[in-house]
Amino acid sequence: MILCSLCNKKEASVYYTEVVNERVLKLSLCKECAEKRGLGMASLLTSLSEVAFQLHKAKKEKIVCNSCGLDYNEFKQSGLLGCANCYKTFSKYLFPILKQVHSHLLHTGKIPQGYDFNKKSLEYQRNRLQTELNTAVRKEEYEKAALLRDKLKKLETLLKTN
Amino acid sequence: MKLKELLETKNEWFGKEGPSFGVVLSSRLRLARNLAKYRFTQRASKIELKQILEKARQALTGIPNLRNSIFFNLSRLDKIGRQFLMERHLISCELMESSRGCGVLIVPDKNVSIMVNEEDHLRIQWLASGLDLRSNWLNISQLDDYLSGKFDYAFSSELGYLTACPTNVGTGLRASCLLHLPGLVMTGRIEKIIHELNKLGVVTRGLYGEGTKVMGDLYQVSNATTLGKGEEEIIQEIEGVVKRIISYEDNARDSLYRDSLTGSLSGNYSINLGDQVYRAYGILSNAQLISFEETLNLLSKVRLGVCMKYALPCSLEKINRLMVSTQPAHLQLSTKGELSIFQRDRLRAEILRSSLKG
Repeated sequence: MILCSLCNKKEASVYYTEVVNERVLKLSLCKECAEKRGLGMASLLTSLSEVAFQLHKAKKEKIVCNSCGLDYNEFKQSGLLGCANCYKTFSKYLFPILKQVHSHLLHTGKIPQGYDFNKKSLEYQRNRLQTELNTAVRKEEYEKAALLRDKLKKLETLLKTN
Repeated sequence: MKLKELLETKNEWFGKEGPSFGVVLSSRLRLARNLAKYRFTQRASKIELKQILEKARQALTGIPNLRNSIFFNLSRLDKIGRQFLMERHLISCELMESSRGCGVLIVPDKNVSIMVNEEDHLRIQWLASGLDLRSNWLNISQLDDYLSGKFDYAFSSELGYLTACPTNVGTGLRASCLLHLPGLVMTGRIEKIIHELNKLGVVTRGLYGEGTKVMGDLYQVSNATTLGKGEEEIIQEIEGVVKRIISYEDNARDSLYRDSLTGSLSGNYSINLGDQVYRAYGILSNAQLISFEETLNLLSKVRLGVCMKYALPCSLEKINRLMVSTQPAHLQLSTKGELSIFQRDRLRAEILRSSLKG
């Protein structure tokens, strides 16, 4: 049984890893200490994107969707996006949320009838995945590489059927 | 006037006995869709919402295989009317309370309802009695295909169908079942089961869906993930989970039954099943005033009793109907007027007494 790194009393159930400029910090926390630090399940959705945001930028950026006018704070408060274009505008904030809720990041279900499936965008994605896969293998992050490889396989199948 | 038609419709999902009826009351498939050229509901202007509503009304009332459909513009429906639709699970709590331009298309003999301008522009829903998700998927998918020819859906090849909330993106599919779990509640095992379900990516909710409380030992379970899996895969997974819950519930019921015969207290519970069932029946068939919540909690025990083959003068179908017809808006619609709490509680008790006397 692993004890919480902060209080050393309760069993850890939240494992937090932070990577800043090649420096890795790992914490094992119990539910209570995690909530206090804003790392519990309740605050995880907003805090993950906040942590990423604060780590990489010194100043605050004001991101607004130019199709509907929604800004990041409004999205954070309501949890709802304003329009289809928001998915592009806020993509880097959505990434951790999608990962948390769905574990997957690529749609593999049905497609609207008569949708003009842009092969180009699929090929671009495949290239991107292949690059990430190569990087992961080089860094010896084999678990990540395996996940990427599965995603790539699914994508290749989609490309073949189109 | 149109609501009265619904009140008298024969083919409701709650009247029939579907598969695994003893535990599963109903199954529901829901697809979330948005129109590409408009802002999502929460962000859209009044004019946009009006345009979407009108577009939807025209397209939805012309669907070839869905004759006898009724379209409701919710702003023209009074409070009781909207609550009635919610009690029938044809619209959500959110749509009922919305003051924005919204509507719903209902097809009574097919248990289909399509909400317009709820959290997403369109929410297509298909209800069935008992555990019946897979066969309904074809139906709802065909309907979705037809509608995608009428509307330009917001869709990206990477993220799938784009929804207002990221938790629905991808397939936009929510597959859920309404389960009756008195055995698990009475044996104190329900908390553990819910915890296990959360780990399996299954969400549990109360009777009327998101944000509502649990009543009458009724739990709604649905998939948590909508992105990265195919629709059939999601449905198969939920069906598998529900079948597992059914076996847990059956075990709990058997355990309660065995102990009630001998008077032993083998589990960490101290109730006698037979006594609970007949006491509940006693109150329901004699009370002069009774609230809906109490009714549901007592009907839950009677329903369990009927499933366990105790001698009771009512069928599962009758109990299901009572669970629906004793709801507040249902009572007021049948009497064509607003009733005070006292009047409702009295009317409810009358209905129960006359229905349950052998």
